[in-house]
Amino acid sequence: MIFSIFARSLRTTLQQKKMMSLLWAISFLFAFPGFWITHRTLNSYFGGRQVAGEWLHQFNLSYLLEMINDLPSLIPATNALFFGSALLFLVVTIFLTGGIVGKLIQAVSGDSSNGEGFAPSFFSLSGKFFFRILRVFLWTTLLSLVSFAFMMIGGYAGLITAALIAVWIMTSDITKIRLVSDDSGKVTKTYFSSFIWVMKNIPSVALVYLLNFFLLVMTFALYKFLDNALIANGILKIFLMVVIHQMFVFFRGAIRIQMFTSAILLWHAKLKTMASVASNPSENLLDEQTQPA
Amino acid sequence: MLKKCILFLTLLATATTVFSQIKIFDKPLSPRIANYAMKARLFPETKIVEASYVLNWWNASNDTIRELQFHLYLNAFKNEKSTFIRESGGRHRSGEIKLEKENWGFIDVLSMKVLDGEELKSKIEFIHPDDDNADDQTVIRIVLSKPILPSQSIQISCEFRSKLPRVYARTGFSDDQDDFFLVGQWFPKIGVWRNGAWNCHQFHSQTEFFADFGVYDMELTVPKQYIVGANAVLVNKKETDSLAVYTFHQEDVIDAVWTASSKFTEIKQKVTIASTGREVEVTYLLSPGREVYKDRLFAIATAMFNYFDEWYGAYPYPNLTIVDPPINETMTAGGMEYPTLITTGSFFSSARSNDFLGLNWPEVVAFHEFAHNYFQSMVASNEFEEPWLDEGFTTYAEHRALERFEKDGKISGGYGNIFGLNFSSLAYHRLSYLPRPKSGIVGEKAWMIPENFYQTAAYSKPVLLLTTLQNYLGEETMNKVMHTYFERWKFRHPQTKDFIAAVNDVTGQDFNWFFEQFVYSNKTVDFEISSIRAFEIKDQMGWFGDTEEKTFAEDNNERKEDSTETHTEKRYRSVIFVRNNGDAFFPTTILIRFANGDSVIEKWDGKENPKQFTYNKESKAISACVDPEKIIVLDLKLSNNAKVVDPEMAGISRYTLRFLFWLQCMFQTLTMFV
Repeated sequence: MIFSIFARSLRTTLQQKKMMSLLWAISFLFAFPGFWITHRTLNSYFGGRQVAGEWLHQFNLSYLLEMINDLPSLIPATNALFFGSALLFLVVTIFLTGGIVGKLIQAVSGDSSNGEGFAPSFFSLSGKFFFRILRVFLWTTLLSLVSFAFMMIGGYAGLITAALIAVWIMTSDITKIRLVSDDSGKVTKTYFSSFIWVMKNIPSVALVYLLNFFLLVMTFALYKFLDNALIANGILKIFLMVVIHQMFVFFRGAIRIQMFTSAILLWHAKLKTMASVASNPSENLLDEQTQPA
Repeated sequence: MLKKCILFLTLLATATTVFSQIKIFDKPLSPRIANYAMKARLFPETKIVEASYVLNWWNASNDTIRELQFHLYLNAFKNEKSTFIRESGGRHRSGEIKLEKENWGFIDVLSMKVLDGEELKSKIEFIHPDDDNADDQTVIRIVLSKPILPSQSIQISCEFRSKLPRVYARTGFSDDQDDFFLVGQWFPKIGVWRNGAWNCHQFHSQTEFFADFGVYDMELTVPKQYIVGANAVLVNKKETDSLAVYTFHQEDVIDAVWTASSKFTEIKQKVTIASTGREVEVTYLLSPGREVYKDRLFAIATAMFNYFDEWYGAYPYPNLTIVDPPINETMTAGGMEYPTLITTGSFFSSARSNDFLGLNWPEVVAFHEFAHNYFQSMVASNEFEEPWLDEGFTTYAEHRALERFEKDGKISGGYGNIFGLNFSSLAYHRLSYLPRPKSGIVGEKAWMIPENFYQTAAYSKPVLLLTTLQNYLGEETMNKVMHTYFERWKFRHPQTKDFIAAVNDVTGQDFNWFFEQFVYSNKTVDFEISSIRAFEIKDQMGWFGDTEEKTFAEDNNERKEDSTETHTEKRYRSVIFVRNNGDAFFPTTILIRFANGDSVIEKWDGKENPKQFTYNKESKAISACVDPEKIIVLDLKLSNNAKVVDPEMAGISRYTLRFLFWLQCMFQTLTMFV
């Protein structure tokens, strides 16, 4: 069942070209100011010097350190820009998540949103669920930070932290799906019942996420192989490097969509199983806690 | 308590300490001025070492000596009034003294007398030769009733009790379950009689080493479960029901240190020095969890003996002990140097090099501490008065070793390879020097160097100036210089002037200009190609002729037809300005490249400032580079050393576009909880 869910979710995800493009575009858009200011600063500082030519063949950290030493306000300014962009990116991503989950639920159920165009329904869903998704994010962040306490123990306790964080991410995804699917406003209740559901179904949920994680690892390995193979010491090669980088960013966004799609399909599959079991009380082996909210 | 007293009395009763009959070297390597035969017993519960020694000291000078001076370094940890605590604020590296009473340390002289003669304890007087801190108790003076004549020896017996501090600076105990003791600077150590006076400095925040060479015999008693290591050759080990007695012997060293832990893993390895085939026995004492580093440490040890043998001279001792302290004491007990015993630190690394963030921390620390065996242990300069001869030469040796180790393919980057960026040790030392090039002087006494400049003055700037010297002289000549300095001054006490003499003698040139500018002053050098311009020479147009009958040429072609001169191609004037923005001079070269592939190398003595170079050639100058071989790593700004007419900016795009990618990835990672 899990593998067929995974295969079906992949097909559904690959159809979401607009969504994938949107995720890539916002990552590019928010990173661009940081890139542009750095690029302009370096160009202006090293303009006319031979440094850039040398860097084409080998990076020399000393030159960069000289610039940082000469421009003491550079690091605080870069930090402010980075944290500012990151915060805005986070808010925008939270905003878009409602739309992503909503459209994916529609796609999985074959609902074409009454012939409405992609953008109006997408942004309408994004706006509608923004504050609910924000609260889910705050819960996940809080629980993840608490989970980091295990790392203080040292040794293999770090694995407990990793496992807990994985559970919070899975719980968070299921919560978002249920909030959008049921159009529910009960975030906290849904979050903790989703946690119970995830724990009850941990083998299948974990397997779906492991398959997605494997996909991410494979994508990273392919990116790393290509990036290492390419020595970007000319204009054309630099262009190729950028293509490889941006392809990786694009597919990383796609994998995030794939995680939602596979979780939606899994949730639906479990829902159907429970519905069929509920229609035959003699076979009802589920307790109340496993019932979806 | 009674039991302890009985044990202590037993110890004292057997304190007729004798010098060992064992010999390591057929002929003494050093003058052997200060020779100690010691007995010590560690009481782990109270962190106390009860000990005694017989010191055999001889007056190698032509002076009649009327008093003795000793270091009592553990008193630096006695209270907040010591010079060490006042200077350091009770902090050292990441460590900080903790206020509980058991964490403080001190040393009490219980008895001291001339063997079979004058009682000295009652004559002990605390002095403070370096500052006006009357409360500092790290140096004592004893006026003798019977002076020591030239070439005469004196034997002094001493009983003392050393209360070890919690280790946060170089010596002491680890206060958790690691059960670790690093027993350094733990005994009353006689000063150095030099130039008609005692050279016996207080214990300072940054410095601690200057002593005469001698022979050390140590009999160390510890609870049986403890494993002991020392900066000496293990001669014997005896065990009783509850105790273990280790006997060590070492010759021609300036200090004695030992370590004990019930949790050490002891590994021995023979390292062969390729040039002579001689073997050195390396003993590794690894704290729990550090055994995984052994292969990495083996590779480091093999490399360092061979590198330093090639660059400086032979390591004569048969032994070296490498201690990797407990992880929580990496910064407090790790990274310390003693003759034939060093402590390392693998805290920031993993078992394989280039793993955790690619930091080469074990290599950096081990190369550095081992290099101290050459600079300060064998070439026994005065760390207090000329710290750069100690830490500076050592850090330079560490830098060379890291470069060679990288060249040999054992590591990536000098200090590390972080996210694909090579963080060389030179980059690190430039990072230390560039923000504060004028803050102090390298050749200053340690305690006169501003606190915020000490790292730069004693460590980083010396690396840069010695590397500059090496680049300027060439590696082969530099090796000759270092060999000469080492051979002349091993087992003696050199000063900066002695190193300068070695440089001048080997090169046959006067290099005082170099040391005056960069060691004895804070002068800087910053070369810059301030402009490069090239334009076509248009001297064909206008009125021509010396008489009233002038001719006017409107353009090149007309002029050529009328002229007796033949101009077959365009010519260009290229003008290059080079300047030194610093106040030190340095002879260097300038490489000018032309569009047709020609190049010119100009010499510049660095005194005429700025300097202009002009060329009338059939081709334009397209680039100019001062110090093209990057000899002068002291240069404050290497990035302005070269200028090009048409800059190739793609190199910048290569990294800024990668930066764009990193930002995107970081943003995506940040939102994994969304």
